[in-house]
Amino acid sequence: MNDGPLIVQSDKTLLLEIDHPGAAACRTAIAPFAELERSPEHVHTYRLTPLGLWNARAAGHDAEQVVDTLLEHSRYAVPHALLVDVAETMARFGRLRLEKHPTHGLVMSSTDRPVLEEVLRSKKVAGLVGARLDDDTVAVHPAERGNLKQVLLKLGWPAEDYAGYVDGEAHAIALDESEWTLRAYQKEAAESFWHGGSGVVVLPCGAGKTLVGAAAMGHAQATTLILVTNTVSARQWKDELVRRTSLTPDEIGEYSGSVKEVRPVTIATYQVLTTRRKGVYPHLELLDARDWGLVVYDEVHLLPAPIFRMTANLQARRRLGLTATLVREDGREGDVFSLIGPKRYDAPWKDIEAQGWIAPADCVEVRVTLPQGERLAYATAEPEERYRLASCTHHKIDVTRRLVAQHAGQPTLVIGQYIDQLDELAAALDAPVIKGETPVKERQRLFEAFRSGELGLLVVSKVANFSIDLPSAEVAIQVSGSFGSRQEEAQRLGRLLRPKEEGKTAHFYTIVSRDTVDADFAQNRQRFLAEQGYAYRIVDADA
Amino acid sequence: MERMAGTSSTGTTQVARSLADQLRGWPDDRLAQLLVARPDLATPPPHDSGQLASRAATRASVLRALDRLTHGELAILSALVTAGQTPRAEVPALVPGTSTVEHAVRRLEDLALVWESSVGLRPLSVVADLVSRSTLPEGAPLDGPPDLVVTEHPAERVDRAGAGAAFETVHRLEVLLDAWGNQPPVALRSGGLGVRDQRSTAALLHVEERTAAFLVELAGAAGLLATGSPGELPESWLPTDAYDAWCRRPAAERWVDLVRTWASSARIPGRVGARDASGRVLNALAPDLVDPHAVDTRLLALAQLTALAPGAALATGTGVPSLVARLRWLRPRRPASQDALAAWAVEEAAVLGVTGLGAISTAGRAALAGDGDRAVELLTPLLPEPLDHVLLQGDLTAVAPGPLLPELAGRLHLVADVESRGGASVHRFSSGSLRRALDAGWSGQEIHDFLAEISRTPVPQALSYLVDDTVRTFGTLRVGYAEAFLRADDPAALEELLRDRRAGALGLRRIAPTVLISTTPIEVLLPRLREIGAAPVVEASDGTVRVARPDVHRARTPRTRGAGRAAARNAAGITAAVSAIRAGDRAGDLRPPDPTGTTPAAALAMLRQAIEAESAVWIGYVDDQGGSTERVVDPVRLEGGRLTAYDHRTDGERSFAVHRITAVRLVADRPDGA
Repeated sequence: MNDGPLIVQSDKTLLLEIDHPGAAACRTAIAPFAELERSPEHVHTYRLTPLGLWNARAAGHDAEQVVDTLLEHSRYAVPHALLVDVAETMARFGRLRLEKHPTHGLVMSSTDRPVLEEVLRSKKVAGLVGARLDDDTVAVHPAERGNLKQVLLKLGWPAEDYAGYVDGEAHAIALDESEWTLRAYQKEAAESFWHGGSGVVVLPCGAGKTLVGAAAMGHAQATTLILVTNTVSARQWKDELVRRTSLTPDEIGEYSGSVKEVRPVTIATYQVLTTRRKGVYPHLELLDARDWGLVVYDEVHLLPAPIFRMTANLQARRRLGLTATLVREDGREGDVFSLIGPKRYDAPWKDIEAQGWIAPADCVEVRVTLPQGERLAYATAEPEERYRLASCTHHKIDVTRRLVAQHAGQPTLVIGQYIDQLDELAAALDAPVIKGETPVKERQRLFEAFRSGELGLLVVSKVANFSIDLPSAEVAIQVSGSFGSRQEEAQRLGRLLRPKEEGKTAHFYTIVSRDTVDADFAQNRQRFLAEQGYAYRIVDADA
Repeated sequence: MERMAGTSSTGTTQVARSLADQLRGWPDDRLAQLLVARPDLATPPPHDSGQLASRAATRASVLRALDRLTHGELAILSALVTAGQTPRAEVPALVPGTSTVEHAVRRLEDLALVWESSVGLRPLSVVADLVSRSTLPEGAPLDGPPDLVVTEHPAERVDRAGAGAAFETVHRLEVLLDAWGNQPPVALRSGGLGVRDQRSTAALLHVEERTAAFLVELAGAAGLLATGSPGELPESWLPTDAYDAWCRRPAAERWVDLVRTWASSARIPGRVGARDASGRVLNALAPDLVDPHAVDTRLLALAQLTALAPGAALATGTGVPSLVARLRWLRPRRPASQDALAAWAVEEAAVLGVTGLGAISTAGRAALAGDGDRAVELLTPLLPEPLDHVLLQGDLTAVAPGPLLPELAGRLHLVADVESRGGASVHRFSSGSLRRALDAGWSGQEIHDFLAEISRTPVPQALSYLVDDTVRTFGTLRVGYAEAFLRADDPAALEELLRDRRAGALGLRRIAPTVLISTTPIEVLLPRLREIGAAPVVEASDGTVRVARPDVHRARTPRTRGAGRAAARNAAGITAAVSAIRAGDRAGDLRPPDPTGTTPAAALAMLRQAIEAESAVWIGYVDDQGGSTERVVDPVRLEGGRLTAYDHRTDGERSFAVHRITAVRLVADRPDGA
């Protein structure tokens, strides 16, 4: 019997025993084709999905390699059906190719005629292709390149795109590494992207995705369009680019609700692009305003649906997606694959943490017991009110105050969902609060103060969740949060996982009311954190 | 003895006058070979060579023998048929371009399809008739069967892949039968398994439907699955009691059993889902899912594979067609279904793990050769060893990195839900799963102990908390049976009642300081309490006090009818009774002195006569219950084998089946009606 670290299950999950001496080698071997699903302390779970296998195919791995890897590292014999399935799935990728034809422009060709016949017979494909050039080739309208790829993926025959990219308008961009250096994994990520052509780089929050973007721009040496989630994040990108590259502030334009600049490097928000007036998207022309050589998508997992449609028309340009997770709450992972590109780089959080780039986090669940009166109110409340009642107990304010006192001197964020509760907390803690209604200017001022250390305590609502860089937060206390979605947790944790000075540990507290729906949601959170490999402690507030 | 002396030669040198003669001259072992090759000749044992020869020449038996001939042998046989009697030396000339004639002729002789007369070799005459009718495929090589298209794999990898499949199959049958033991699927009236159940089985086992059908069939063939009707359930498919014993045996032994079962099973799961001749969809486990050639073709196909070098596998894509072509050559007279049977055999062998990566594994080779012990020995080291521990993790899962000891698995299934199973299994703890354990009588401490015992690593804090949380809320609400409750604001009053000896039989129990419950129904309880001296008040279901007056008993007022109507009814009843009595008497009087029956023709004649004459008749009649009665009737009409007549006894018209009328006698004059 082989004594490998991997166990291959017939339901297509791979279990990796990480205390095994061969675990590290095995992890490297399976990472290209298996998606890490959970990484708790002893056994990591990976899953084989068609998308994952196609990602591997796109990266140049073939089925035989995958099968060999599984057989080599597997402790037990590998289910036969699974091997057959892997081979069949991987064989589906690349049967169809999108290519440049010297006379006909963009064409779709196939070495496997029945496959071509099958997809051409599909109604969804019919409108996207042109004349049949010969038995194995059919013309494709350049504008339908993205749509076609999307449809083909849905049909289970993902096409390989060999049609290449336009160079775009040249623009000199260089990394300015005088005071810092690109980390090894960032460099690797940028290079894998560049060799792959287009695609997505998956790195945890705080692992320096902006720098991967900057490095990619350094490869491209061309005008770049950067799409980000919101204005605050746009400004952070700009600051970072000015600091880390040869670009000057004049070369970088912001294209948002308030400012509309088009410069060699333009940073636009998703929101402004998806603004609709009288059924048209007036800012869509930005995409054609310059001959972009590179389009960067920040937080790909949040990319709104209209941007997907627009991206379908950008297939001739290089596209880089940056994200902490490929998991999309709307399940449109396939669209990311076909429109932006396959995954080009991925590193498990824990690994990056072990390399010292991310502070280890100490996750603590603090349990409070509702006082008798509130318990009764909770018991008799309407179901839709219950979560609010449970998560807004006054008890939590006392506990928060105690925690804040305990971590006095460390930059602390208090995160919540309900405005009333946040206001109360702000009053009790004597700290400023950032809510949805806080103007951008004011937000920036507060964030800046927090970042510089002027302000040691900040109460934020969930508007602050996405893509705002708060590098110096060492303690986060979450008092309420809606329904513990996986994405939200990743963001909250990301808040704390930014690189810290030597040896500092970040603390992540969630305060939970015992025996209520709050505790039920906390269980999802606990599971998520444990699955991400974080030690998770439970502490009783009353004890 | 004389005959024995004759057998010392091979039989080919002596000239025989008939097949029987030739058989008589054969040595015993050759005769035995014939009986093995053509088993139908041996049952029942023939009296002598003469009978054996005549049996061997019957059409049905020859057809069977021809079925097992290869293309090359058939070609020679048909050449012999065409050429008639041919001297042995001249046979090769009949079929040019072959080098294996001698071997083929020898086999034809061995099968007693050809014998050698003084002139030369001659086929049985019935062979001539049958072979000339069978058309041989043109252009096929006569020398030998087409070769298989093979690829090579390292033998060690083949064995591992095979062992993987073997373990999966054994494991899947366990999952399947455990699931069916809990929720048995209903057996169709035709005996099969419903399409929907088959589909859900495929989902349960993470396999395709055809594989699911195969596994279900395998369980059936191995005697692990049978129909039964447990409790109030309809006829369903259930694991047999043999299954329990099977579970306790080592996986390798179970696998060898399955391989044996499979090799000798005439069932064809490959056909599941197809339609039969009448257009009905064939279901798994349906009784008619068999093929007479299934076993033979399967073994022949496997024999081709085992003949290859270790590690040689059928090539992807082209391998199976080459096997099919080879079998066609080896058994050209088989129906076309042989092709599918061969393909299924290959597919099933892969699922079962007899082959790995398309090549026969060493364990498979041993199992097929009948050497079960050797197969177990080869397979065992490749199978995962049962474990006595799991890894507990902070995300509330327990991972068993291999199969668990059955006893441990049973306990773990109680406290956790299975999330993924295969070589290893992942179990998830939730408050629901823990509650299940508590329901089964475990205490919180027992769960903690169990977790500590099975885990190699410290129990994660989150899991301990979950157990404690679940235990804390478990049983907060208590439910029980009671016939009545007794409550009082004064606990002392209840205490007094509880301690009263006379109340001992009332089944009182205190569930709160001010509440007692009783197992005695309230109607009994109330007077008893009053006897004791208590003064209870009854509460209605809404909590209000129901004021009870002393019970005074009253009867229900009877309803009365008008006197006139009752009298009329009585009169009518009496009349009916009288007419019945009269009719009875009359019938008795009129009973003919001779009890013999009337012939049907005579009866009909008499009845017609009575109708014409409007006279009454006496009839003997056998009623629905088979009792014989007699009555007097006035026949009205006779048609469609039935007599309609006025019956004096019931005072009304009724119809009588003529064939039940045993006797008819005319009655002199019509009696006066009632």
